[in-house]
Amino acid sequence: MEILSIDSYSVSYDGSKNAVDAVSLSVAQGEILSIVGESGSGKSTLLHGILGLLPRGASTRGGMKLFGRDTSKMDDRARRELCGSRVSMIFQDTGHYMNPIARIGAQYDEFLRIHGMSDREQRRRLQRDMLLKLHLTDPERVLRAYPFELSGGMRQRVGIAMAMSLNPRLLLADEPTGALDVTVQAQVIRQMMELRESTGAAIVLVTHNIGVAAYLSDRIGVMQRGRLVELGPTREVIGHPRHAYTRGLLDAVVEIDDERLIASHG
Amino acid sequence: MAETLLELKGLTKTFPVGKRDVLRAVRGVDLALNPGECLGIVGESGCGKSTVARMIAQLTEVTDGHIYFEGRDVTRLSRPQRRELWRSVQMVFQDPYSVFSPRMTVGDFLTEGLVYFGLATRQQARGMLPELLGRVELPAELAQRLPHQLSGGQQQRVVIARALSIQPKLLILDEATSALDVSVQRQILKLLMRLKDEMNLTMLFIGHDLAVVRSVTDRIAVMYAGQLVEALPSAALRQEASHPYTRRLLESVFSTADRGRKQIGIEDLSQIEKGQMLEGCPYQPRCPEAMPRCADACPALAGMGPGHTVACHARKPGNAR
Repeated sequence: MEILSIDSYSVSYDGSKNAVDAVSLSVAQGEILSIVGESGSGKSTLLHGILGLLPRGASTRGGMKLFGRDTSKMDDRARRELCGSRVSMIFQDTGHYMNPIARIGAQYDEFLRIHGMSDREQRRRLQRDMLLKLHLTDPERVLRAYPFELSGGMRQRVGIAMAMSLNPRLLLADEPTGALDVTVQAQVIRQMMELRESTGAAIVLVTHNIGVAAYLSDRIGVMQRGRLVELGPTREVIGHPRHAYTRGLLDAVVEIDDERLIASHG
Repeated sequence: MAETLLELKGLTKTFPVGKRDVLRAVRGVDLALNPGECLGIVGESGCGKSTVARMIAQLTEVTDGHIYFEGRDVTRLSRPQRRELWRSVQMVFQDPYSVFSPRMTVGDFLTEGLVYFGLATRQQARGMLPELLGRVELPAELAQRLPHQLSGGQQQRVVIARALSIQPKLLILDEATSALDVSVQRQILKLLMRLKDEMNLTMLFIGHDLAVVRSVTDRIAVMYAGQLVEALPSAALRQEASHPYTRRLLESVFSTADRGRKQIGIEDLSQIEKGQMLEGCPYQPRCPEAMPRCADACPALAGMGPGHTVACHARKPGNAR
């Protein structure tokens, strides 16, 4: 079943230049799609457009269907009802959208309540279970903490726990590991794959880290200046890139087993 | 072999936490850097790698231990002495824009060092602009521009050009390419390698990206929670890395080649912050090979092979894993 389908979708911030330019793609249930590209390629704008988070003044064209329903003409309220607890988003730094003066537990609880979980005991249990699942072994301490008392990696895990709590059908992730240390990044990647396996959620991941995209995704899309220049199965895009830009991008990545750049020394 | 350019002996930096505790940001780091060598320091945020760099560049006071530059103790310097050292030690940071004065033209910015250190008059320095810019592969016209009119990659080139304008003996690069897009990053790395060869530069390259640091360095030092846990030739990193933390770092690298095949072990990350507060080995709370000893005493660096040292109770010289 198709979770998301986008047809010739464009976003413009200033009315003239397209930040996202006629992008078409679809995401099936249980599929992980990564969008890679350099800064300014429009990959984050595309993701924000899917969730309806574009700033006022941005104009969109083209079609978008979420769960089979056309969202391009929906107002905010209708879109919220459609997405509800079925679509979640993880941002680069979860800390940025947490309330700095409220304890993690209070924020997490409010989030679950708003999404219709009325049983208080059930909410508490779910919070603890999700944090444990994300390998935060002392969930009570985390829930009692204020956001600033946790490291960036722990905050990010809380954000991911929240986003995954309601078993979303679609998870949108915007550079979810961009600010994390490499060992923490590996853990977060692992958890996203676990979510897909245990719930069949579809994931759209935006990243500049091509190694991560190659590891995690079934398909990869490559964006350059707003256009989706290549889209295909990961093996194809990484192994046999068709577009010159993709080839350039892959060549630029410094890999751990690369010939070293260093010329001469002695 | 030429004399060591830079030597760190037991370099330590602590910060008080609350009334009784201390945070060991850097503890007892021993490192030496030979002229013409490029040494990398890798580690994750908070491991102390930037603090080491800042102490060398005299931007942070040393708590304990010594820094020797060309054999001279430069651990604690007076203002004029510090100024003299900066003539030889230059540093490049992650965010180039933050080093610029927004209203100063690229030309004025580039020539400031030459004039400040009395190496050229303002007039002479302006005459050197085409050469300074050319060295970092930028056109001379850029001298008239303001920093915001440059791309991130161009800005970082200008910052490098400025650091090199006074011909320092040591160039410290602290995450200097981390904020750049991959294609720009690769260009800057290549530029640095070319300059290193042409100017016989000695470099200290600090970063969190193992692949990037490895690609441009002769030797890599790995830091964890303030401690130097392993140092080895960059070319041998993948095969010979021996410390459990270095192995973990290597396993955490995502390469386009190993799509989906690699296993990622589960880790309890709530243990991470504790390392710097401990008496014993800082990695012990996370270490799969931890023994009772590890909680009691911090392991010292021991030789494993040529140019290879490891600080780990579970590793004995001669029987690397």
